[in-house]
Amino acid sequence: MPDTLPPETPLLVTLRVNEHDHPLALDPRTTLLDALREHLGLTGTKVGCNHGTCGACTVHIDGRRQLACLVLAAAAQGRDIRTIEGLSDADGALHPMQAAFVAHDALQCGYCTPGQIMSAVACVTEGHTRTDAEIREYMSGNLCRCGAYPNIVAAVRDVAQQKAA
Amino acid sequence: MDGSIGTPIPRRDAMAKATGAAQYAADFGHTGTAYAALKLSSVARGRITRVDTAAAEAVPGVQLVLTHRDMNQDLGAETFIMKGGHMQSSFMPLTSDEVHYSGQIVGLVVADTTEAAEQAARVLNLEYAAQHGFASIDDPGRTKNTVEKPEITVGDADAAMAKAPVRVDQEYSTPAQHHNPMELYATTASWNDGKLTVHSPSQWVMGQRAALATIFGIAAEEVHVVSPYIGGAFGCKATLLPHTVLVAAAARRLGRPVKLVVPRDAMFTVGSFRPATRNRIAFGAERDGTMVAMVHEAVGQTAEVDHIAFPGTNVTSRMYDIANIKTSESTIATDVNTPGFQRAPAEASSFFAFESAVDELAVALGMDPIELRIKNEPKVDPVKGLPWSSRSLVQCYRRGAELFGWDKRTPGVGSMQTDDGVLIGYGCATATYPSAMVPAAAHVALSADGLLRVRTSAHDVGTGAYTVLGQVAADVLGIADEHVRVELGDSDLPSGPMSGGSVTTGSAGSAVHMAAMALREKLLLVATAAKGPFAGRDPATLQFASGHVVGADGTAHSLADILKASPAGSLDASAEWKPDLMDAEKMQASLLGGFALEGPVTKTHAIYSFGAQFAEVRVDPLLRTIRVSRMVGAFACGRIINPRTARSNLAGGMVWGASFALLEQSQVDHPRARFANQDLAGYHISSCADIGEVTAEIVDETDTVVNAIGAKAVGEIGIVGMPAAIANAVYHATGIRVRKTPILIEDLLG
Repeated sequence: MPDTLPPETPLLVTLRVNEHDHPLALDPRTTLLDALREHLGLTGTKVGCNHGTCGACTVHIDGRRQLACLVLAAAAQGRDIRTIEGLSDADGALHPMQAAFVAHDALQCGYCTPGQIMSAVACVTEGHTRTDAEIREYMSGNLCRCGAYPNIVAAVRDVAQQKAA
Repeated sequence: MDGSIGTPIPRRDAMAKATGAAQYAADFGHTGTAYAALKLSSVARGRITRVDTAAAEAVPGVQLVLTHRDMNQDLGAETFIMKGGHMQSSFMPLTSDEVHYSGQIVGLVVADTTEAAEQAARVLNLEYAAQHGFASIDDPGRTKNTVEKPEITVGDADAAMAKAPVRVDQEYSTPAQHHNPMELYATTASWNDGKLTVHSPSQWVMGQRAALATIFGIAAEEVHVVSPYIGGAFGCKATLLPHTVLVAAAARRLGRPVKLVVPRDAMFTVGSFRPATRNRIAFGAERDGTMVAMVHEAVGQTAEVDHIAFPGTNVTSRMYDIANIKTSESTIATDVNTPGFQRAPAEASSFFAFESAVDELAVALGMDPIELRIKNEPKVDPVKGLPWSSRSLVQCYRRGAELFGWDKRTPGVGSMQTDDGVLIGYGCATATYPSAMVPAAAHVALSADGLLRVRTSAHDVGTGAYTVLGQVAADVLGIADEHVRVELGDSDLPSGPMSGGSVTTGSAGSAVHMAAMALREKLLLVATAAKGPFAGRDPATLQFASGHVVGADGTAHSLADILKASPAGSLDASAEWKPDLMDAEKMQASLLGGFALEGPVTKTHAIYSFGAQFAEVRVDPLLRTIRVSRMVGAFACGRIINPRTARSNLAGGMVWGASFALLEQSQVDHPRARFANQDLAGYHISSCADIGEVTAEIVDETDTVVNAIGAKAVGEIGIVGMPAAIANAVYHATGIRVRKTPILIEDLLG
């Protein structure tokens, strides 16, 4: 990016997040991650690397899991964005994956957890849950430094089995 | 739900974390926040000769550009934690034109947006007079500095070694490693009427408060450090880091809140790291397996600007019943940021060496490695002759072996294979961690609405402190878990300990227990007073259960009823707890944000947690890829307050151990004297696909010495034996003894 790019003229963007439209005036370089966190106050989506290597910022865009740090906010206009804050029911009931993470103690420090859960929901939807090995493979884009992996696999397996039943 | 000690209640903060509601340092919003970005040195050693801020200041939205030219009069003196202060290093960036390591902070830019700040930091132009630097202990010309004092000598190790019929003597090496918690360092600082509020992930809010007060010349009460949730710490958030000071200084100058989120690459140099080590371990033994001599020479990396060492010799010397022990420690200075505490700082690296050497001795003797260890189990501490507060290592080995299926192991190298020829290896190793204790204060309050509030400025770094500290109080007062609230991670709370050295449950838990006992006494006084529901009864006959006080005849009155008989309708109690043998003056200094430890070796006892760890590895016979298919650990850590959070913590440590054994190394770019792989694509930690079955078993143990609640160290022991257990399993599978980590494919090409 040339350092001469003038950011004085903000970019007008409307982001549809968790079924609500949010008109924003942003520096054109703003990532979706920073737009969510710094401009919309949706801090459930975490920043872990800003380089697409850790998965902490995983959100759903049009139903698919994506890394919010690698998407420019401008490029997310007109798309359907869902974050961890939009995962529970309107009445606040936990999504089954959130409940499974609590039940299996699939978190410790909790920082990677929103990204893990968003990824896990998509992993089940994608059908990548036929074996534990497949779950491990398809959950490997989300790093957990606390090492809660065995319990994360148990939570994902549990929800996949509930869904199949 | 019953929330008493020993009940595996769900993590108290799990819901907040699973919904994204838990607020970490960078999640707190502040009106009018300006954003900061760091400029890091591109050379490892030298001086800054020219500073040109024009291009940075010309970036629209830039408010402030700080370099060493602007900073030096501003700050009061604080010191390195190893010199009695609170800082990560003796060296404070921006206080001079000196460059001591690559990635040192040489500038801080503040702008209206994070995008503008980052752009301005990029175009901030610094020129250097660079000298050649060295970032590795293996670089040529590095000299060892021997540390005289900590040497341990028992008997005559040289003479006993010379006479021993069986000897092993090898050197083992481990590389520099970085903590890489998922949460980046982040600081938001704001000033209001001369008072400073800092949101920063911290394992030591009281220490940060004390340090910031010194640095900015204000009273400790005028500093508020807030850190309710910490996104992984592992030691790197224990001390005050320089960027927090710079952000607070910038916020004061600008008169508005300033926020900095440290990028992942900068995480490798603005904080600490686990230094590289070389450990020489020698054993001498009789042919029946009796160990007669042990030598441990520890060499560790330190920084030119500081001396810090984590040799582990005072732990390895206490593992086995050996009459002749000699240890030495030395360091090698390098041009890097100051190393620091990383999960089991002394133990993880030294035990890779030490427990690999024990396995080599077992091979040399033709003995089962578990039986060799059990044969040399010491009845007392081999160094001081003191009794153990508790030591259940043999029980851990028996239970772990049973869970793991050690009896299915055939000892021959390469003797175990799958049907398709994949080599299977079984390995084991001992783990231990010292149980030191730190003074702590706590406050508990029971309000008319029936809620029990537990308050102390300890921290939950993912360990379960929110859960277990509540259970300690609930246990004393017979209160259901749903009626318990716990507040941690805030310097306005009663003083809690630094969450380091696995001290939180034992130390803060003892303070909470003491406060809860005091509250219990107050409740009994009210209950048995003239107007109380148990008027005239002997308090000793009353029990607390299910939110009620129950008499010997079965009469029960709810705590709410008893509170109605108290003058205020509510009751509370505070406590300041210290380890038995510590004096009161030391306790007070510690509670004010100093740092005072008692143990693990006191005047009367040696106090350690112990564990036995097992690994199964699978090595592809052609590709030589290594997989850890199973890990089992059996641990005895005194009384376990919550088996669920304890197991998760122990299992997480084992995942760290696997990561240590096979993946982790901060690679050094030798010509440029810097860490080369400064991101999570280059610095590998275990991913989900790397980890197979993990079993963390708790062996029952009672310890009446360590503290009032009988809880020993849990947080770090899980990593300690795992690297050696894996290396020993790799040997069993392949016959190749790899004496360095990470163990890579190329190490197994034979």
